[in-house]
Amino acid sequence: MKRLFLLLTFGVVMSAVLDSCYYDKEEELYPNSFGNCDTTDTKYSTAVRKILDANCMGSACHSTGQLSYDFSTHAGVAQAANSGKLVSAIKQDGSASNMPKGGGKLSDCNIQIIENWVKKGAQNN
Amino acid sequence: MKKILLPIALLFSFPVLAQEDLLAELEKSQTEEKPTPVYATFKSTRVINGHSVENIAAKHLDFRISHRFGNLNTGEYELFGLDQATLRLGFEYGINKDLMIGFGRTTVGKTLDGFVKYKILSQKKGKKAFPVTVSYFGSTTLKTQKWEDPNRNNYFTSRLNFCNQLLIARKFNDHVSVQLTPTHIHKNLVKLKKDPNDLFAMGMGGSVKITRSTRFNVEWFPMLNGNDGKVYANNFSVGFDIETGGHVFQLHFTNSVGQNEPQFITETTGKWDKGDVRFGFNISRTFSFDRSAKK
Repeated sequence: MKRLFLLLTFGVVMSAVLDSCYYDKEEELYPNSFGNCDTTDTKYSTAVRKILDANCMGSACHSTGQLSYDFSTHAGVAQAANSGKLVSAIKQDGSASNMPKGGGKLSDCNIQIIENWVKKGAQNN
Repeated sequence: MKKILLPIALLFSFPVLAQEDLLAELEKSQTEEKPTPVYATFKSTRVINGHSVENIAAKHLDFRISHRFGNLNTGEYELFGLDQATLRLGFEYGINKDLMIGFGRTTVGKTLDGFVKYKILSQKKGKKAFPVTVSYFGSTTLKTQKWEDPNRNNYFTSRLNFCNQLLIARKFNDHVSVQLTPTHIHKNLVKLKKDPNDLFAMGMGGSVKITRSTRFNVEWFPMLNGNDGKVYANNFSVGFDIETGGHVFQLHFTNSVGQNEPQFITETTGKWDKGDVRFGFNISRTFSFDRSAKK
């Protein structure tokens, strides 16, 4: 009986172990942090919006009616972008309040994508 | 049909008679020369970094404290590495004489590890001798260190590594024991596309008796794939076992800092020829929970 119990436990543990076996590569999972920063896509609707949604809209920071810059619409983002404050804030170069607030910094790749979009006129594309 | 069966039955009855005689002979010779298992191939459950074929006795708990210090070549300012101690604390328990389990935590990567070790075959001498002891060792490690980049989509499974080993050891005599350790390590997450998730190594270890309570050990884990030698080196260690009462002290010099299999076999960066050698020691204290033995 004891042996059976041991065998069963062993079986359960082993199957749990084998189920959690993955073949992941950082280079494939996180291509942007691997020097293969893809800056060809600098469109607002696809690339920029994704970064803003993930980093600026959380905790209702830059959503509608919250802070001075409302990033829920293109107009709000463009206002920050055209004043130069957006890029300064995320590059944390000192000429604007460092963003995202409360520590952390966007990855170099994400900063690059936003900067390229701003340079091209911060269009609503 | 019956006609055929009878002669056949007769035919078989004679050998049975003869067999009984033989069995009696065999039994006699077996009681004279029973196979005796070979004990104490190594002094400890570890050769140095890696596991040996030794198990903790049934119902015994082994509390292990293992230290690895900084590189000797950091010089006297760091007291030759002693200022930079890393640690593994482990609790290991013998369920029966063949099966042991354990878990521990290593400073490097804030890593938890759990393992099972099962003795499949024992080396025996005398009649029906068997030349080697064979054990299976399996472990899972969980790196709990915070992610370097918390903003990316990190997965829990990326924290897991696995290790499978066969421990094949032979005690030649009281003076010399050797062990071969074919090793498979699986990493759920590796860096580059070209890096393999499954890594293989062929560990080798040896132990030589110096005095009644001291042994000299050597251990080497050459990697068979996935290592171009630029960043990572093969684990190599030399050390001494010193036995005093209920303790076994293992003092050694090694090029590894990690203390679970995926770390010291595949993530060793120290190179012996550059002087990246560390001092380390394992202390082991065993507590008995075997009530029958106390009576």
